[in-house]
Amino acid sequence: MRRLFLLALACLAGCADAPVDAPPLRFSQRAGAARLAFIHVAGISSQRQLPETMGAGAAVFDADLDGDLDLYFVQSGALPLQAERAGEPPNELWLNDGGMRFSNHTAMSGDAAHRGYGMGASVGDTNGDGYEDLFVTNLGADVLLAGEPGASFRDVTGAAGISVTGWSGGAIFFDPDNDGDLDLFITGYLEIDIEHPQVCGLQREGWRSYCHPDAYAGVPDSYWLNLGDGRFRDATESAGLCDSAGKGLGAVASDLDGDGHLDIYVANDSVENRLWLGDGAGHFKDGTLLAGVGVNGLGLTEAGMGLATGDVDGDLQLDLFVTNFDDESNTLYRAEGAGLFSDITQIAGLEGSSRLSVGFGALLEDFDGDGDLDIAVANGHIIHNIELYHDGKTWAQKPLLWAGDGAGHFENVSATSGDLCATAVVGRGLYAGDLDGDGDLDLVLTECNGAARLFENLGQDERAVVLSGLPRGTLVEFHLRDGTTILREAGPQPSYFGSGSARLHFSGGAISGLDLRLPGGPSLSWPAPLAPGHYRVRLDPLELVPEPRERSAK
Amino acid sequence: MCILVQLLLAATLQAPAEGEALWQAGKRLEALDAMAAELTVRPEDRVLRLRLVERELELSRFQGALAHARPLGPAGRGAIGRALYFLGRYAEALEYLSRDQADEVLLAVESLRALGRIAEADSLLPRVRGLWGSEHPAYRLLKGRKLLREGDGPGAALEFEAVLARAPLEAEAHFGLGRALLASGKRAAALAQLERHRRLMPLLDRLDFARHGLALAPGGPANQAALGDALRALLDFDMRLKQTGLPGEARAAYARAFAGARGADLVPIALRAARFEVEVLDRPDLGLALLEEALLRHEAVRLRVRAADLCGTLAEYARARAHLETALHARPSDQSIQQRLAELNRAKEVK
Repeated sequence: MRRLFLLALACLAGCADAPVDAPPLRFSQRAGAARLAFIHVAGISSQRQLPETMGAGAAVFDADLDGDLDLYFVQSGALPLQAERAGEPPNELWLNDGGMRFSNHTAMSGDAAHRGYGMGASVGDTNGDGYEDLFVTNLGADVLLAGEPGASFRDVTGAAGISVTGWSGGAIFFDPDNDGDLDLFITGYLEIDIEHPQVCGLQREGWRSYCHPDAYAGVPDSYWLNLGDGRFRDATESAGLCDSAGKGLGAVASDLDGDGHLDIYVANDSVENRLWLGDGAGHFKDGTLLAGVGVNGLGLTEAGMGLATGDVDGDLQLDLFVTNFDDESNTLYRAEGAGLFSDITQIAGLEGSSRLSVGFGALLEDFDGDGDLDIAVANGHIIHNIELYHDGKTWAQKPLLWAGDGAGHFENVSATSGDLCATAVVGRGLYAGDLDGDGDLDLVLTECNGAARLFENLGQDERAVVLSGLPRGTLVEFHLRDGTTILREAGPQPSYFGSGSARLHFSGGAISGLDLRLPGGPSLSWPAPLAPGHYRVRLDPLELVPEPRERSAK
Repeated sequence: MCILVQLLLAATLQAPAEGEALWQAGKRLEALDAMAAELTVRPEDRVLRLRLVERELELSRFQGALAHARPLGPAGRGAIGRALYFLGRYAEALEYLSRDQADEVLLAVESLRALGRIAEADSLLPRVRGLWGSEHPAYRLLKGRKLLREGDGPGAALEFEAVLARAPLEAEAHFGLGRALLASGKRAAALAQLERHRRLMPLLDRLDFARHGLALAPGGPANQAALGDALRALLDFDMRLKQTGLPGEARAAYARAFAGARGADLVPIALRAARFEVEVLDRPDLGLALLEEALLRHEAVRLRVRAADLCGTLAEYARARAHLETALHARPSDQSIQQRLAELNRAKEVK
């Protein structure tokens, strides 16, 4: 057993048994003051090519290792009808100068200023050099960008041996074989012939629309094994991840069956979602059928887009939330134990309020710091002229926000959430991170063919315990003074096509101790109280090293 | 599509006259425009207003239906309830949906479930039974849902099996049966059922997609043929479905496609329709008749060759030869046609 190393942590005011009152859950849009000016260009054409409407993601991470969270936005541009893309807009890296003020670092970011027709981004230190790397999915060749000093990145795709050239969706870095380095899972989306676009919609002026995914064949997902020397090997088949030609968009790696090993869940568009159960040695088997997470509770396939995991009902098991198409509602699967799940969307109060929107970015986070997970979703239709086909629907849609009660029930609080849900946008990505360093989780929303938006959480959480450096997928049980235990999972959460902050925020009450369940590894215990603040977690032996932080000026 | 919603959508009025001609001709948007124009001239015409509302509901013009239904008073309440339901305004819909109308009570149940008011939805089960009957799939499906949620696996399994006996394409019953068997501890049977559901779902999705494609453009031959293909795929999946209305529906879809196709577009449709007659309905004679009718409208080697093959099956060798010779005339160097002719000659010699 690993030696437990306890730092002498003073139990400060935050350790008191103060009741956790939920402050109002409100967000304020930070526009000019944040100086962020990323605008997604979708290259929308009269051809109505499906990639134009899928939007692109973003990543929230500390690119320059200065302690605050920076933003990387994936760009698209004109469709890649030819190889030359020098004239297309690049992906952009925006550095946080502190207090949620950003400066455009793209010109100094090296190959991070990539010019593909971008879809998503994933973050992880794949070579263990301490700098976060990026994997960017595209319509076309995906790229691995190695992080270097000065928030610069170098394209190492060729050297890494990664070759993915179709239409990729989401990507996740994770360590399913517990060998200490990060492997890579990429969802394949659709086979599309850009040169010969299909024509969909009513053959009438103005009615041409984007084609449904049913009009295309799917592209298989792929799994790339990190060989530990900067190279990756396609291990899709040997890992057992066959038969996955499933039109994948979102993917998440979590221990969904509670066996201690990371699993993969893939949200597929209009076909069955897939749960791949990991064995801790890098092999997977299809666990979809018995788990009951391939379709919704009515037995119907849905158009899975974004994903989030978390314990919504306090039973110390990870539940699963998937955003879907309109007339489907988003779906909340509750873990019932033994790897089984039930669709509790209706019971949870999530059905009606999400049935008319098309959900993309999905977050399960405690936004109001009351210890219960809340849900935020970015919405926006795929069909630009959907109002012609259904006069109650629109392309731009308002985001939605639900406050959780910790027992698996949610209340739609969108109307009182401030700016977040006030304006209809063609929402795609939605990512969380404490961008202003005040302890609560702020939001980044990406819009298809529109401006990225920042939403400041007005909560200002003084009670937050923030843990960084946890291996992704680590389950942390916070034991509270009042005898309750709350489960949280270390990120980053992928949402839709992206990567939220990997830092774990907890503010559910005074902590008397905690247990860490590392993927594939032992449980580590921290039996002492923990005062509010930022801690860097070091393993072997377990240390929680305080990270002093200056409060950001608002 | 959920059986409950199908039942509701099927409950539309038989609409007469005026814009109806456009509607029947497949010009549905034009039909709505025409009806709306008529209504501005005759706003007191309640029959016309009701017809327009129903047609608007069919074409997902729910805001329009809502506006046009309000002046109808009590007669429009059901339509208002349906429009509000499909606009996601469930709480308002509940104020309009009658618990004494068979179709509306189902929407009331679904509205309550959408709002998370599960106990209230369950409390309407006796009303559903009273209006639909205790053996109707709609009722038994709801009962199965409730039992499964309550953890009564064996009871739920019985209900879902009963649904499938009368509605074999009900996805929820297939999935629910698998879950119910699992809840009953019958893991192997559950897995087999869930696997069956997994294989069925893409076919049902395809059917759903095909039907959606027809909503606005029912006259499109390609869309009609796609519906035929989707139905045929289901029959291939489970030939027991031949005992249902599916074969007739598929044949009708192919017939509409066949009637509407022009020129070279007719060829693939005729071939698929003929294959359906031969391979699913075991009627090579009808398949041949289709192909020969198609040849009267559009000459094509592929149709000739396929017609010759069917003639061979029916021992109509002279007819087969005629088709093949015509085809060979069009493609003198086609080896497959030459080979077929040679085989035909050998068969004649043997005979």
